[in-house]
Amino acid sequence: MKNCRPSKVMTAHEAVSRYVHDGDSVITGNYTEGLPFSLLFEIIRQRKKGLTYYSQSGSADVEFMVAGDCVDKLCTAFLHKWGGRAAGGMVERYQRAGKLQVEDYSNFTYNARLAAGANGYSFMPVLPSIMDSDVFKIRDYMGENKFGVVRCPFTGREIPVVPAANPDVCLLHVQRADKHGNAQHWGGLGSTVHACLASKTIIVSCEELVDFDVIKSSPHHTIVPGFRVSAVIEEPYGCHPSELPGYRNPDMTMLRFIDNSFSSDEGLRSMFDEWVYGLPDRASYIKHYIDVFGVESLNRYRARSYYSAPADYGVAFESGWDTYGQALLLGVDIAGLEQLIAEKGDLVDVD
Amino acid sequence: MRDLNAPANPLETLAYIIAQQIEDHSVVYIGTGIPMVAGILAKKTHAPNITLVYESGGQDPIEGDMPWSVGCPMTWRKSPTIMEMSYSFAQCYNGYVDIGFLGFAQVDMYGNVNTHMIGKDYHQPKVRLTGSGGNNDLSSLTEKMVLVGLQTPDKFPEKVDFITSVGWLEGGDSRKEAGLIGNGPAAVISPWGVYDFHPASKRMRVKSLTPGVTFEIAQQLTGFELLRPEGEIPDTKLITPECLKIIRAQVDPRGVFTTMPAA
Repeated sequence: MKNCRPSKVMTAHEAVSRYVHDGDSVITGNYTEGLPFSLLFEIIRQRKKGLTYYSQSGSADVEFMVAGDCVDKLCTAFLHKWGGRAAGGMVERYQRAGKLQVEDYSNFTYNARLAAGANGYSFMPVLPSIMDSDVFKIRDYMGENKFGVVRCPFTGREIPVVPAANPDVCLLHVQRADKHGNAQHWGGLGSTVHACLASKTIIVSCEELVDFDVIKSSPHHTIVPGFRVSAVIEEPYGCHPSELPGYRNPDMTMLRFIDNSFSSDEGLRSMFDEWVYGLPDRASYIKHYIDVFGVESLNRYRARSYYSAPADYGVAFESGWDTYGQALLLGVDIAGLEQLIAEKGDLVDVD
Repeated sequence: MRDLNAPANPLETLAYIIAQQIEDHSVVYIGTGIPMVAGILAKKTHAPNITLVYESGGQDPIEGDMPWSVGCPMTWRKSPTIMEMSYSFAQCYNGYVDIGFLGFAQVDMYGNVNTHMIGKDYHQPKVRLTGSGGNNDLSSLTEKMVLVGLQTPDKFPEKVDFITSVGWLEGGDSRKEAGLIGNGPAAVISPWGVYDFHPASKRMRVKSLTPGVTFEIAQQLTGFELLRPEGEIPDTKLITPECLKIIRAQVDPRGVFTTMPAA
């Protein structure tokens, strides 16, 4: 049988229409860097509704998703308020208006929910510091299921636990991936790996689509195996205006503009019309950015390279040969082994 | 470029006082904001051998620009290790971190911390704040926990609006009875004073005050009755001109965390 793996490469529009459904739970896999803004804007453009949105260190991503009327429920550990203190931020406004339910965890307990989900456990113990706090006591949409308490069978102590989280869709932006979905990310990981591996469907956008050879020579950078990924989008600037190691710093020009826009209803509407609804995809977003702020502004935040030393993955095949020149495990000599490799072939693409 | 000769503002004073709590060779857990300024200041001055630990994963980064949050690339710039968050926290759980700093929007007389919301009803907040982040997670973990923030009667209420992180709970033995590990909060630092907790009642007590601040002034800046230590109240050591210059020229040259917000 031929060894075939189909390409998963598609556009953000295709990926979101195919894999994100009204009422889904959607998690932003990235912690604070490389936030998947291209995919988030696409979700808002497609006017997805009733989402449960997970964002551990909620930044402009939460503000956009809430202001885009996509989110009914928010699970978070931290929220950065945009638009200044007076405007109050989207979460505060929507929460007060009764349009948004917010469930607060701490960073570790938020992570523990995903770690449980990634491991296939139904719950995970967390540290007792949470038990006497209002994070534990005050509950929103999770109700009784926000936290539980079990007795440790070994020490007899009471231990707070969190339920597993297995979001429907994880949105992830990375530096590079191949067409099979093997996604490589380096930098501040936060809970990114747990967020991906806990989720049922993973959509990856990447700055660069690379050959499988690049991936297999640097497996230590791969945070999610290809077979778990449903869609791969080659999306340069897919996380703009947030930062990505090796590519760029946060774009303060754009972030200041966003902050100002969030400070008034009028600014918010015009920003959404101009930058989210008014532009069909990321390429036109970047083109629009250049028209508005100039290419110098874009280049000002470009990263200066600092390369990782290559790792040597060589192995000593000789130790696998017996005294008759036969490979110990396969029972063939070197010519036989070469023939086996030739028959097996490398990965064959269908496209 | 910041004016290197202007008098120290309360945030710079705060950063300096915090830095003084850090001993050389210790492992320091750093939260967003003033603690980052203090940690980097300590490393550049009296404590060059400390290891700075950030929750997003960076351990012991080579200094660069001021990070704008604990998730910023400057928290792992040229770090020997970038961990996943769960392991970064777990080092505290396992007792490998010596000192940690928690920011607060409100702190009460027993050192309980609020960073979630202001108002009576969580579901209808008057002001929604950041939430826990790693605040609660650190509150029972490191050997020495120091609470850091500004001081007004609203920020030092008798009871916080929301307990994000547990300090000494209701005082006395209540923390121990609740089964909490860790040593509990050791100190509270504001620009106006350094406070500790009475060993038996666990109520907040003046330890030292910024020169010019009397016990009465500190009390007026506090929403509950402060305890007075026995004997004379010592002055908090003020920031030296050298350290002030280092903050402004090297640690936070753009004034991200050490310029006072406009009123």
